[in-house]
Amino acid sequence: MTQTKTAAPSARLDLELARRLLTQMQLIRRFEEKAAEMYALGKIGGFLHLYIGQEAVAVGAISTLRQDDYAIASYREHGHCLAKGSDPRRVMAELFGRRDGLSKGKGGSMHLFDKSVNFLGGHGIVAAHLPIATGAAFAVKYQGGDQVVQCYFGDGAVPEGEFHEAMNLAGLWKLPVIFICENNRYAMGTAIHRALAQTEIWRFAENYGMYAEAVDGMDVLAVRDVVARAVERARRDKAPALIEARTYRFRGHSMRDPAGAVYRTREEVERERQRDPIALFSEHCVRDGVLTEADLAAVEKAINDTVDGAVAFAEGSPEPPAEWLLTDVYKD
Amino acid sequence: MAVMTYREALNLALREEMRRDPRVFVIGEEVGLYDGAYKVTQGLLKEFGEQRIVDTPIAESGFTGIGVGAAMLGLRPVVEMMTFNFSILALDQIVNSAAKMLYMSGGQYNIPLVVRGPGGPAAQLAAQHSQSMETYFYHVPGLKVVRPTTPADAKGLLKSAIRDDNPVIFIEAETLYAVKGEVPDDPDFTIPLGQTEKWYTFTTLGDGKADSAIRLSSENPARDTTTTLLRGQDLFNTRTFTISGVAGINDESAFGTPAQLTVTCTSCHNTPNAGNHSVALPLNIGLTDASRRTSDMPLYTLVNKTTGATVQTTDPGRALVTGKWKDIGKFKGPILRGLAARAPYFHNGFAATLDDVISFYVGRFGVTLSAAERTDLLHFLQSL
Repeated sequence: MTQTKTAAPSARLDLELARRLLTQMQLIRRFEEKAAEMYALGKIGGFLHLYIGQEAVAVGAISTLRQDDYAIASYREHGHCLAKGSDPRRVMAELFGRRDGLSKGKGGSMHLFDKSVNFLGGHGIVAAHLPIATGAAFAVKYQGGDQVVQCYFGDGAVPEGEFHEAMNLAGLWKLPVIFICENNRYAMGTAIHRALAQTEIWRFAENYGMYAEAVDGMDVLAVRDVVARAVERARRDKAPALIEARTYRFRGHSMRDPAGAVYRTREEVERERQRDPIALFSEHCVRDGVLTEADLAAVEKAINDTVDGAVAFAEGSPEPPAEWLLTDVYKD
Repeated sequence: MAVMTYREALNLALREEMRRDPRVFVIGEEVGLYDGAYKVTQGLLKEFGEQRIVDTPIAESGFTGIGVGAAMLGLRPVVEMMTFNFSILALDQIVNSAAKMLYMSGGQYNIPLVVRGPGGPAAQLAAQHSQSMETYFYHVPGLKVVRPTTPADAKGLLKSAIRDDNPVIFIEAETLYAVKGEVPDDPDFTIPLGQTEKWYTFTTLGDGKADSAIRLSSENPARDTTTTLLRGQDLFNTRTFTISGVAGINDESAFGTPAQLTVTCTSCHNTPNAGNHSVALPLNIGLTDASRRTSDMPLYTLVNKTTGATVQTTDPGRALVTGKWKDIGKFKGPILRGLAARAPYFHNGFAATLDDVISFYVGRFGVTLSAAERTDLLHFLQSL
């Protein structure tokens, strides 16, 4: 972890920013805890991959974007979608498979798309969205725009060919895409040292002529600092980057792997939980006098209300009609 | 009308669409500096420059994915596969990304992408470079599949494919690139996908039979091909006959228990455009009737203890699995792909040749065929 950047000084951490970062992380955490409850009650079906423990990555990185920038992610994408600005009510309705969901209930947990906030989707085939992100960046450059694309994936995508094809093309053509690898050390149940000949993932960028940094993914301010530099370069120089955010998934791979304890030890999980990104950031803010305990409580209360509202909205949204099974196959 | 080759017609279609719409760009291996492996993109780099004629490294999945991503942001990419055999390397992007994005996003992101290139067999290219990939893509909801036959088709259909808002798989016939034909000059000449002259929807013959026909024919090969295809269309898609006594169709409530049903060949063998796959329902078309028993077959007498009914059959068929009386003699229809190599036919080898198969259907359902039609049908079945 020698390459991992630590948090920058808190000089730039003002009240408004602190509250925004904390609110978004809390929203994602509480939203997913509630989604897990709803899953247990049978109100959400299919696969449900929780992001709990990794919130600082999406929140820190997306906080550096403009609204017209793009983000795209894998199937563990609830957090990125919410951080990009999607309505939590419509995200929850999508998990419920209801007609007011972002994708009319036809995408589910793994395929949240929201054109209104330039969220290019959650994608269910590991690494398939890396070339797509590169194509979005190609289109930005083709159209003469100055937006950037952030592309989120796990360490499990790195051994895939599409990771390397996308990295090569982005580096070759100097496209404004920031690849953000959320290294949570396990591809489903396969530990990184069982999957990669080079476990320092950021080093792959050297071969593709690409700027790279590793960062402590449990530290929202460190993520924000590192990604902000990459975003600025991408916007200014049309240069891609690879950011390796070292993080940890507190829950299992999916709801079918609740403890996630077969392939990792209980001690390891407990140790990592001590570095909960929300707790770390809350302590930081209170210690530096940016937020008070009362502020933290107010954020929590507001988030609980938002998430309860999202569940009520999803419950109240009707099932999609059967004929929607056959719509959106072709665009007229 | 100008006379030009199939290759030149494709080139002209690309040129016209790129002049018409700045969102259209071409991306693929050797499309620019090399002028195209098969010269379909010849001269385009000179006219449109590197930004719109994009040479790629050999990375089919990568550059097809770039096409998908660019399409999500509103561009209209034309991705060239140097040959369609290489599209297998990009199958994930085509099937999982391009074809499904509109559906998964609830209609938010359509993918106006064309994936084009040569396909089908050519001379002595061996197994990896001779595949007819269209039958793979036919089975993917969300894709449109086009297989042009004449130079005019090539131009009109490619222009429609580029203007279409959906992902289109556009497979050119490698053996037809040098074939000449008349092509309309009008830059707005297009042929709508899947809904014009009926033979445009019926393209499988273009692979084997039609390509051979063109090479053997001397005077007007394109017209010969058209005629063959038209005959096939009339015969298999529009000629009706009556089926009766088929357990699974004439006695099932889902079909309204019609004693007689007017159908065409493609009512059951109905994969889009190809007719390669059969109806999924297990049916009893009468193959196991005692009357068709030959001396090498068993004869079972089955008694229904509830109703007292008896039936004689050479094979209980699906009933052996389900134990149900109504399933006696029912079998699932086979895939018709590669029929010529798979004699004998039916579950028990009852028909030794494809001609015997035709004889069975003609006799069983009273299909009226002239000698010429019967030959056409035989050739069609052999070409699958």
